[in-house]
Amino acid sequence: MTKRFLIAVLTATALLGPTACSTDQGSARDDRGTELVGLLELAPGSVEAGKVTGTWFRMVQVGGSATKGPYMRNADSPADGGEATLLAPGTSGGIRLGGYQSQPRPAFAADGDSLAAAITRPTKFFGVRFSIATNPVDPQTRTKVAPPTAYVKDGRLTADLSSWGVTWNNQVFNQGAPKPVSSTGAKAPGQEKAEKVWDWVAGTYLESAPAPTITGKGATGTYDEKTGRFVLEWTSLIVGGPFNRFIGRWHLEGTFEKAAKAPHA
Amino acid sequence: MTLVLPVAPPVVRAVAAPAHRRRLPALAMLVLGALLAVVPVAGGLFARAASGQQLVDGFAPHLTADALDRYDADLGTLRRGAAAIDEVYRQRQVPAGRFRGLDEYRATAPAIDARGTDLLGRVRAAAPDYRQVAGVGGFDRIPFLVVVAGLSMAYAGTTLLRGPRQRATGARLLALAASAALIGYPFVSGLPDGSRAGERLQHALAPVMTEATVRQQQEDFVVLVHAVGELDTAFRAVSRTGRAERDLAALVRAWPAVSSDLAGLVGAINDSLADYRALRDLDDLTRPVGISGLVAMPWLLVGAGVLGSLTVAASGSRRRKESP
Repeated sequence: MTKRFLIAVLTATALLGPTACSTDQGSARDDRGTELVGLLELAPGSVEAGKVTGTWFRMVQVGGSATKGPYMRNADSPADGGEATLLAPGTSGGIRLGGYQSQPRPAFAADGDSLAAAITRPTKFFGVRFSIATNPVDPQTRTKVAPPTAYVKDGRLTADLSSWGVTWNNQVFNQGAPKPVSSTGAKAPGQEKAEKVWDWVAGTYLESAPAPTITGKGATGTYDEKTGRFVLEWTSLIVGGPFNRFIGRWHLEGTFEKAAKAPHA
Repeated sequence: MTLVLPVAPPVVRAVAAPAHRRRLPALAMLVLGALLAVVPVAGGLFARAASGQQLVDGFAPHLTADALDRYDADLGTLRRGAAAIDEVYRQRQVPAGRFRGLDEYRATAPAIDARGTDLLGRVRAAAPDYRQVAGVGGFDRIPFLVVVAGLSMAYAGTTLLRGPRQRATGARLLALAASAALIGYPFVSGLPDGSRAGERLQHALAPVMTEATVRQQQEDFVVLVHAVGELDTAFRAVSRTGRAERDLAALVRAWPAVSSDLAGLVGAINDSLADYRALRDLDDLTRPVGISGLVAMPWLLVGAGVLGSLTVAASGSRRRKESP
């Protein structure tokens, strides 16, 4: 009995060892590298010697380029003639990895200001405060999305921020990377349930993979394991809504703080 | 004593004349049912009707009397704000180039106002038709009604052709109920008036429901946000008094609500473009024969129901004439 048990344990270790699961206080390893679990603590945006540093955001006008613009000039921002909007960490200090930081209910004040304050402090953008939340179901695309996750491999940081949603002036925009596939198309009565049943049947009996719910690349950046310093960047096309085809360019900087996986909020 | 009775003659019962199956009406019922079951699926009616319903739902918050009045007020605020900016520029001899955002707004304000007024005028004019369309109950369920009625008729036709005779009455009743539903639904739901209103609505919104409109409104929005941003920051340094001061302060104060309204309406237009195109396709389905698909829809349902009823009436079994 003991011999059999030992063989089973050794076999399991040999099979699982290379691919998964070494967990040590807030990190786990797989093919993508080591998963960071904890808080991406954001450094506030600032302008130093004319250079924008820390955490910031730019909004590229339709037809523009993410690197060259033209950018929207936010008169409420002092950075780069208003073309960059500086962000400050919110009440949680930054992005919780492996858990959601959902928008509150209600999500907006009467004047349209965003009330989501966990990730970043609500920041004035054209007279109205905007902010960020990560929700299990993206409010704009109505697609189920994963909580933020980040992996580091050889100093390169990759992140799934598909749940990154902006709230501004009673509007919600997904600004994630990768992008959630929209689930807002017109559906006949009962179609949604029928699709769920079909997905279950196809997954269970036909072994077919479910339709992808995200598309495109995730955020990328760098991570210094010694200091915990990280930089994370991505661009995200707004799909749908009043700012259809505008592009958000995001730059996050700060320090990673290990922590146990948090319950979803 | 034995009583001898004469042998009774055999009792002869009259043999009923064999009921004759009427094949042609049953076949017609089957074909009609099959067509009704297949056409909505093959013609993509489920998706188009769902798009029509989503279009109606998407515009619901923007076509209320309150919302339309608010949009009017927003345009008035922008108009007065633009006039006030002009006045301050003249009074204080503000040089061009000092406030890029305001310069651009001054140059385009009349056009922005004209476009906004035109858009709002069209939306307001379409509101009564919209309300009539929105009042049609269960628009997105019409294809289900047609398919279920079709399957019922196909089943009834098959039963009348090949099924046991004792099921014939039930089959005819089923086909009759399906026909009655097709005839009755349009009148119960107000579909004839609603679909005529839908056709008018579809044409009235045609100039609005385009990518070009969305793009233009986005450009106008960019001009506006840059201008109001400067009004609320750098332009404060320029002194102004009286009415100009009041109108500019009102614009800055109202801006969150104005921009929310504008963003909401443009967002609704943008997000409904695909649904609008689907509704237009539905309307165009019968264009080759010179009729609007939306206008024809209730009468096609009634027509199918009447045909179904006729096949039921004609499918009643008759006795063969007895031979002499």
